[in-house]
Amino acid sequence: MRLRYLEAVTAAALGAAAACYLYLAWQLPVPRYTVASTPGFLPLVLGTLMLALCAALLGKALLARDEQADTVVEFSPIGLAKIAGVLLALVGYVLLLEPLGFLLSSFVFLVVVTPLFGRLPWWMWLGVPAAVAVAAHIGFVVMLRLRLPPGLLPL
Amino acid sequence: MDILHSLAYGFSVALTPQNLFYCFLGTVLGTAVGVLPGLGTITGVAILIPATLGMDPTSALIMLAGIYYGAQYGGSTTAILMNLPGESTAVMTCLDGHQLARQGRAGQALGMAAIASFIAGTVSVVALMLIAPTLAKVALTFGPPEYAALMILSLTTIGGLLGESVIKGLMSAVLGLMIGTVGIDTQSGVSRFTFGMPELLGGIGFLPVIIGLFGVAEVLENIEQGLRREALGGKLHRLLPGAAEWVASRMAILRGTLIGFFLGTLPGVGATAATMIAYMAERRQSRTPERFGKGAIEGVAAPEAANNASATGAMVPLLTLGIPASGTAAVLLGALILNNVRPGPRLFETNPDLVWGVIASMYIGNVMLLILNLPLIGIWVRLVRVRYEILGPVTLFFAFIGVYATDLNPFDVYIMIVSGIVGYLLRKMRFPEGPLILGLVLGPLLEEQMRRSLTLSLGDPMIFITRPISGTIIAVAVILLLLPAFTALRARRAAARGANGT
Repeated sequence: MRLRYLEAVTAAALGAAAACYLYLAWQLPVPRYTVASTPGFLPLVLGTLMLALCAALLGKALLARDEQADTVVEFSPIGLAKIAGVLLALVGYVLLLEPLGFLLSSFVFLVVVTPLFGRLPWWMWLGVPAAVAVAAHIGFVVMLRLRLPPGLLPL
Repeated sequence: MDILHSLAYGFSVALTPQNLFYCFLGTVLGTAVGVLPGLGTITGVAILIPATLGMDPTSALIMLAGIYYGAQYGGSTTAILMNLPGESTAVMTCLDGHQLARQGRAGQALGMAAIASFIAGTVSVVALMLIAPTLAKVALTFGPPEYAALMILSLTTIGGLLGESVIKGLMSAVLGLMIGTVGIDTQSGVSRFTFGMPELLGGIGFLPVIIGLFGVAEVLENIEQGLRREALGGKLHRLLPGAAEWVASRMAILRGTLIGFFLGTLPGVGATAATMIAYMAERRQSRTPERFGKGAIEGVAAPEAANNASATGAMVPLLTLGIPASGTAAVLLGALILNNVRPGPRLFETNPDLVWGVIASMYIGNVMLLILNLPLIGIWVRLVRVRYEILGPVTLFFAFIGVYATDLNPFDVYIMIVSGIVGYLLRKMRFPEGPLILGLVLGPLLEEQMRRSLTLSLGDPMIFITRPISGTIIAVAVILLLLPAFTALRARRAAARGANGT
């Protein structure tokens, strides 16, 4: 996709968000007769500024005729699938942390996420996550005494 | 004499076993962060902030500052051996450093990079020590309008000068400021933009946002691009540069140091620009500019000196005014605030142990880095070969733990994930992330100073213009903001005139 189109979409999306922000800012207590120190003042200024900047970016994206605006920004489908995988793994890690515990969930997370980065020999694929999870457990739980969820293992 | 006494006191703080250990740890981690491609300085500092919470603030800043300037040393290793800058500040080092490596002179290039970094680091700490207390004394006369004006200057210059587009930089800064307004307003008790979610009452945490924006986004970008790298093999011979190389490089180191330190103190210019300007200046000075890009040792010395001096220079506005001059300095500012330290001119009076301890630790850290980067260079060369298939997942793991372990709150991890997606998209669309962090960190401080100023003036906004210092600062901000537009307009007119003439 060309950079200019991406910029136009971004300007429109951020502009819409800024309009909502401005609407909510307007609901906050704002002085009517003096510019003073109230919670709504800065949000109103920021919302207005963002709207103006979005309009400027939209105008630039639609009117610019330079090479840079026509640069193609590539999104590789395989790359995007890997990104989605990483993000899902992170969400899964949050959800599994309590039931499985820190040590087990960390091991599972690292084992699941490593293949998304590339191929490793099987002993590294399993060995590195095990070593990292155990080292982190010793560092955070045993030495720093952080109260991370123990989960299934009696630790 | 005052400075010497203070420095002696600083050394008494920095030389305690605990602070020596944190200084060493910071410089080692910083070198590792610099050496490893795919792990930037901001990411390195951000991921390690949680480890400093609960530490003594002086030790925390000694360690984080060590990571910051240590990364500048380490960045040259990958630049020279792999033609891949470990840091953006090592881009210029690639040009001649890698050519030297191809000619079998990698050892000399690495040696010159380490020595130039050491000299620049040490000289700029002396400059920091001399300038910072004086500037802090001047800044003590500042009132709320001057502080608000300084923050506006910082936001406009960093927003305006970083990245390719002024509009995008400013949008990034305003977005950061907007995120900073979420939560309970501390002065009135009114909750803003919380949508009834109790997790948002305390505001959006700085830590999950920066770790997401830099750590997670960097991993997402690398995984999409499929980061691959190949280091030049072979043994390193003769690490110390010879007499001819010294003669050729001594002035390059000096000029690089001056350029780097001066530009490092200015908000928005940044270390990367400093290295480029230092390299260009050296090529222009040279009687044989054609050697540059083909393995000129001065082409390694100048940018390496500049990037280290710039990292130290950025500490001047941070320690004296509480204003960060770069994205990494903004993260350091956030780390200080998280550790209940408020940087600014009063820091020299209220926390002399912190300020002078950090300054003294920088002398010690530079010596440690010289040892780490000359006799122990072999270890770093081996680290360069760590596969991203291992480094990427481990980075994500530490990002997760860093965010979760701070408050044991899963909501923070979700904020980190969302920030990671936002950071990835910003990178794709070439928005700079530095201004966003700056806006997020400075937002609450700016609002506080603005409201104090308006209370002082009974609501009259002219207070920012009519006071001489704040008025001048605002004028500089406006000029710097409009300058790129004027330059572009002039260039367009000149081009049009040229087209009409032909």
